[in-house]
Amino acid sequence: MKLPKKLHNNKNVNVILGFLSGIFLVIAVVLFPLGFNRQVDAANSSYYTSLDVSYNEAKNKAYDHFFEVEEEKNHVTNEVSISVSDIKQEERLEVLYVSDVDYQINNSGGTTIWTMLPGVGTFTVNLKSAEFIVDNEQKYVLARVPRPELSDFSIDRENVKVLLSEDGFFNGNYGKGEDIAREDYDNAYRNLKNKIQANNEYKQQAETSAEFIIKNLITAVNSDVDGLTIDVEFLE
Amino acid sequence: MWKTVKNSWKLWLITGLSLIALVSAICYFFSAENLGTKLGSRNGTAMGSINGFIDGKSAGEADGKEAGLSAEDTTVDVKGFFEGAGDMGVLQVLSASVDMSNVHSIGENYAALYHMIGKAVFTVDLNNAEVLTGDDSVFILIPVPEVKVEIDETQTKKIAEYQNVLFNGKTSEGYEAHVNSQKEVMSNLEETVTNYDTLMDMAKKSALSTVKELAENVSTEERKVIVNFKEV
Repeated sequence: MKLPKKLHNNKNVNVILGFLSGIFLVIAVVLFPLGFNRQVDAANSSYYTSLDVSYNEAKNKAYDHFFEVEEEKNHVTNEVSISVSDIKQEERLEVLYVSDVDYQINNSGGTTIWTMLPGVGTFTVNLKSAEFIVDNEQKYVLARVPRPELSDFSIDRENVKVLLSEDGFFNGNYGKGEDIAREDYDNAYRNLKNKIQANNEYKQQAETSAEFIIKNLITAVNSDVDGLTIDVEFLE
Repeated sequence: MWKTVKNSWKLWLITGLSLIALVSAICYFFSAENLGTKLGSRNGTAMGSINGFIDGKSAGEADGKEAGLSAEDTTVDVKGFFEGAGDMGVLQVLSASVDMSNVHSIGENYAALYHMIGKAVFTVDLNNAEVLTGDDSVFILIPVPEVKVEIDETQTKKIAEYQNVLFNGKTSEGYEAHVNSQKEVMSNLEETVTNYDTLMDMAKKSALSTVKELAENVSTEERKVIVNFKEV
């Protein structure tokens, strides 16, 4: 039986529909994996970019926060109040500066601390006890001054350096550390001051420097005097 | 005939569905990049934040502890030496005894009260002085006095102490905190004394009179000695 014309045209439509379906499906099957690859590539790239950015941001924020927390927990403060007394006029001429170093080694309670403590001393001439004999006609000045003495000495706190610092098994405590430090400063102060005072070379150098400086001072005040003679004599 | 019509209807359905699949695929293809970026960004941010927090916390704690214990960096190049006080020397013009108390603390777990005795000395550096001699007068310009403070370490005593029994730190930390404190105390002390106007005024007066007296004593001519401070 021959199909009616209408039905025969439906067969052509079906073919076309079938063809179109096939095309659509093929394209869809191709596009989905391609799209997936694009998604993966984009995800990778943005993952690492945002990883770096957020890592740095979080790290900096965490660093700042915990830095502040730890700094505050271990924050060292000092509140110093001073009172001044015994103010007096001086007339001491500084002529020589001496510096030396003392080392303090501590091994107690398992804690080991090595410290270098420099000290600075100043030799001065007390001009209050000095006598100046001036001969205008002879253009001669005799300066009779006391011998230089170590009048000032201190630990150079700015340059104290802890060379080694290791705690024992039980760690100790802050107070113990403070006590050891105090003892070291005390010992270094005594050691260095005694050492400098006992050093004859320093004393001789101080006298040489004193003579040089005093002559220069006298010359400066009498710079217009030709043929000026200056002598410096140390009082016994 | 019915079978033909029925099959025709199914084919339309299949075609319709294929078209939907195609449209979906096209939409997905063009939005895949955007989708991937968002997904990657979200995961990257999460992972980066976690890792960054962990690393930052660790580094921050370590550095913060070190900063808390240390007052400032110290560069040392010290050796035993002696040197003269220049060509003209440095003249001490005023001295004063300084009595100090220091409340020294480390966080909230330790505090100590120290008593210190020292000396403040005002000096004029004559190496920077200018001397002008005239027929009947001598003009001397001197720099403004400077101050140095010396502490007698043998007189420094700890008067009182508080220590948290549970969180009381380490011996080495206490030692370092003390050393760093001494540096800061000294620099602040000198600055305070320098800015103590009454004392500085006294030092200036003493400087002028002392230098004048010294110059008059060593002058071979009967001349008027005028001493003044250099312009700062």
